[in-house]
Amino acid sequence: MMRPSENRPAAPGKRLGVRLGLAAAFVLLFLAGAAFYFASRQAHQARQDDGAVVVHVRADRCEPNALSVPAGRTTFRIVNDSKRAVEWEILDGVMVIEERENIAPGFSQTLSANLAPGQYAMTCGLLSNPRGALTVTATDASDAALSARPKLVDFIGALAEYRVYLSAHADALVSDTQRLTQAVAAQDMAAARRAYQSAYGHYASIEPAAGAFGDLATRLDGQAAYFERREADPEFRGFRRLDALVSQAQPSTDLARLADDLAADARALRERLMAQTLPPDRMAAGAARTVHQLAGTHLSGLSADTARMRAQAALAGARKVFSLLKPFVDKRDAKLSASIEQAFDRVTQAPVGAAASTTGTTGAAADPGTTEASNAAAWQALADQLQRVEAALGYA
Amino acid sequence: MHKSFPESASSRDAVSTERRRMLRGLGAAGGVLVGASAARAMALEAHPAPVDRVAQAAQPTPGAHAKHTQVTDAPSGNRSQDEWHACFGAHQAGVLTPRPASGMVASFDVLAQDAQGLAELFRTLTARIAFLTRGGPTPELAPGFPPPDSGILGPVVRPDALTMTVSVGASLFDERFGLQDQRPKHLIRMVRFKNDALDASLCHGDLLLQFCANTPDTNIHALRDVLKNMPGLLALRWKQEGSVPVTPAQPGEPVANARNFLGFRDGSANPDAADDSLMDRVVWVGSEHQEPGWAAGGSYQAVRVIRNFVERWDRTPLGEQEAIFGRRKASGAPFDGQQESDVPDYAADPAGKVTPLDAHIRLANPRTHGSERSLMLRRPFNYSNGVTRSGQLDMGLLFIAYQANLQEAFIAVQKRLDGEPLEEYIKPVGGGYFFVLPGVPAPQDGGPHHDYFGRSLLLAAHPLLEKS
Amino acid sequence: MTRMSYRTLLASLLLVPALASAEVSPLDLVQPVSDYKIYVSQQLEALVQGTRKFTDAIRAGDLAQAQALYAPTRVPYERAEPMAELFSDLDSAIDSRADDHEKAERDPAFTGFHRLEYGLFAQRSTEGLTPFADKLMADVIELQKRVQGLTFPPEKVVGGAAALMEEVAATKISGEEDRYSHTDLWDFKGNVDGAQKIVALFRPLIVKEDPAFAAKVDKNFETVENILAKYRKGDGYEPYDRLSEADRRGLVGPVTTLAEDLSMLRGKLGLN
Repeated sequence: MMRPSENRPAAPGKRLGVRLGLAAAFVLLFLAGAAFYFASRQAHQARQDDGAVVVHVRADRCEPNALSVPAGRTTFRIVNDSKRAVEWEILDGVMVIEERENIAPGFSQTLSANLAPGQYAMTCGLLSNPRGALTVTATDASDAALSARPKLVDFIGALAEYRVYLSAHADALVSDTQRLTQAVAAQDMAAARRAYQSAYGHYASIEPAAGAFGDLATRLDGQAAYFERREADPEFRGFRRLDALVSQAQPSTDLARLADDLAADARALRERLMAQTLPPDRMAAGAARTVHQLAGTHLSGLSADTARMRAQAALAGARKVFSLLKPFVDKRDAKLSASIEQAFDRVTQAPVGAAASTTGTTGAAADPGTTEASNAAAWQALADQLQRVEAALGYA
Repeated sequence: MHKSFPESASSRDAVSTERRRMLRGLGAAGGVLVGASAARAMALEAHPAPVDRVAQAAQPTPGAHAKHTQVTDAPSGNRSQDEWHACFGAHQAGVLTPRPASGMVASFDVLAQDAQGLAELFRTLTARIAFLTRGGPTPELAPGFPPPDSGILGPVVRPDALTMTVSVGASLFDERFGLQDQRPKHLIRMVRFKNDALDASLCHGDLLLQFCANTPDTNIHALRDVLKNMPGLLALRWKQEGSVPVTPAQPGEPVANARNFLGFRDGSANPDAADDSLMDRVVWVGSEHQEPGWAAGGSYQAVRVIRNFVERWDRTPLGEQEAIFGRRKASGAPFDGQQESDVPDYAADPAGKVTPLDAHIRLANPRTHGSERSLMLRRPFNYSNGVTRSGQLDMGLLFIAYQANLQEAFIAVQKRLDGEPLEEYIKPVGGGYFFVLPGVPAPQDGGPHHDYFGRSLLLAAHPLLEKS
Repeated sequence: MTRMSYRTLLASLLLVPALASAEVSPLDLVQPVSDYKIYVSQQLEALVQGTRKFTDAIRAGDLAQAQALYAPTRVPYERAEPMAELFSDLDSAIDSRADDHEKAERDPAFTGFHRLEYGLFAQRSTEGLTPFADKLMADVIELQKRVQGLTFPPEKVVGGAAALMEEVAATKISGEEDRYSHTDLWDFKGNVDGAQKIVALFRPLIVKEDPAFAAKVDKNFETVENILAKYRKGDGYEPYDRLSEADRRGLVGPVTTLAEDLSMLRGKLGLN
């Protein structure tokens, strides 16, 4: 886990530590390379003993037409069972990876190819013939080569992009809470309600980052259930407390104070957010946490409208995080990437896009078989997938 | 002897008979002079070699088509001024000929009015080329006349490895000379690519001459000779001179390609000029290229004047320079190789982790199935002109490439290069597309020489041209 | 040795230089990069608003107003140039000059600011300029959209300071950028502003790495600003031809030195 770079130990000690770390990293990489070399040699021997993978090229197709081999070096024997001279190619998209030309009818040729995991095509005689499929599966050895964590420097662009996003929403949060205090002062409840909704939506969008600040999260968005005297507790404030109050026709006595506190806390949050840079694993963990909350009873106590808006905004915020980290996840675990996309889609399509439960203060699980239950399952599934992103990025 | 030094039409009448006898006598008598000035006598005695060489016309000399030398190898600096390359043969010289240290392209507007005029232009040009590339004493006139030769190489012209290559532009095939039906299939007026900032005054031309020699003065002398001899037939449009660094060969090391002004070896991965069948396929137009019959033995020539922003390049990190090209700067080796001649293995690097997908060499030649159709022979020079208004250096690459199919080679490759990172540092400002005329066989010993560069083209369009 | 293991070793060797500048953590670069994106977004919003007013004046046939608005409209573009030029098709459509095109001013592909400049200042008329004005408006909006969606590559952000000074050295010092209106000094200042902004955003890190370097860069910027300040006129600048030869020469040194020094920035901050 990377810590924010605010607190640095004394420079000389750090330099020595860095040098040792460098040396250790270099030695480890060298050992990994050596280990991989020996492992791949072993794999090479094993395949040779088993013989080559045979592919028959017939008049209109290959036999087999779909092949699967492990990553690394594979020897193919191409047997031309057609009546014309053929060439055989392994294609990655439009790029020819390997080929054997001019295999005479009735004859065979061997081709030895060193393939990385992925999906390839193979030609089967005439160019007009449909292509065969060649799947190269990852092995422990090929995984080992890929699993080294990407350099932090590669993340800078994505982290900067997220920071811009946080900055925009934090700015909007601050200005909306300012509008709220002004509306309350002018006793304009309709405007107050609008400002409240807008502010809460911006907060929810940046919850993956904001929720990490425990104290501010409690002040801005703490649930009544976690206070000793629940709704009556003097420390219960923020968006949850204001939800009911801004729906009233007339401002209540403590509305002005609560609105001022909210605006102050919003400014403090913005300052906190801009003062530090969230590393990629914290971003991923934050997105997972945001979604996980919504699978439970996190929105209990809020009005239906507010809960719905809050859930959608939080989902969008989590989706933003994932979209920025996706290129890195794709490289390491494309299947996870795809399943996360699917999970997002399923949650978006859940009826009214609402979170699991908007009722109940005791956190009782929703009845199975109900709409609520399937919503909960969809949110939880998404949370579980997002939980895996940290590891997929190479963090413990 | 006078057959080997055809005199131009303008000088023939003016030369006094006494001078001419003297010149003729030189060859036979081996150096006896009648009435010559002392200086001239010293000059002739100091340079007996060209006179001897004329007699030994059949002997090859060092440097003449040394097949083991590649076109873009760095010149080694031990060249003799007497080195010469035959201008006659199945193909013109200056294409496969190993590139010497100095080059120049000069583009001309043809001023001839009709096919007869064009024929005279080509005949005269051929005669001048034959003299200049072989060398010999220059004709003299009485002092009351302007001298027929500029004299910058002295009274006896040394060949100095000069080659002069004649090529023609698409504009020659307009209605002026009736050549419309004979235009080579792919010969068009050069069209701008996305990064080009073409200066009209540096582009195109009816006819182009490529001069190459060991020293720049030989090229300049030859250009001035051409202009002097054909004032009514040719007008100079634009020219660009260039050079390549002379690098003496080190014992035990392979001869390396010369470097361009970005500091990188230029010409790595050029097809092997010693491989005749490869050259027949890649460079020379043959029957399989389906061009007009007269064009067999010629070649398409792409000329590009490409300015390099050298100050900006010199401020770019080395790693980035190498990533832009796709080669190590010092050795010229590809990233997955050890030396310049190693061939990069892109199939093993489909994601471009070793050699970036937008590296110059990878875009130019992705080495996929079919990209061998885009092979061309590059024979460039570096140029250094002056200073821009911003006080920056105006220098760059005089790019010259030869291929049998312009569309599939240069144009296809340049389209692949559109948008490459190198574009930040280069700006094509001039050049054009031309067609190198087929070679002309050497005159038979003792017989008159009827053939000339461009004859096959003119006769293809005007079969009755010589019947009158 | 198999190719795979050789490459692993090669890759490990390449990693070492990248880790060598360990004083500046990549996380330290995130804030300046994100602040730069915010800056560029603000510039492009100003560009869109300014271009709207500028093209409105052209469409209305108001020559004087269009002429007055030409130079100030361009300034945000010149400030944001490192990011704008990542989109070469738009950069060419918006900012190419006549000599980038074979047929020069008559070339149909010659569009954008300088084509309008030619009409407004050389031909002194808004006649026939509406299609070019419309196209410029559309291109500028498209540019804003594309930059909005772009994750800024950190090496392009840091390298942008040097790139801006290269622009100045190559085209602004000579007065060939705005050859019809002679408003080059406006563009010059825009480029310098953009470069200074990048340096300012990364300054805390630069000072930590190399305080002498930071001081030298600051001094050269100051020299350039002082010379330019002599030519201020209202909200803008005198025409380029007012620039004295002595001052023009006085600019060359610091501008070229800034280009040299800022070309070291990426290396100093650990970006390759």
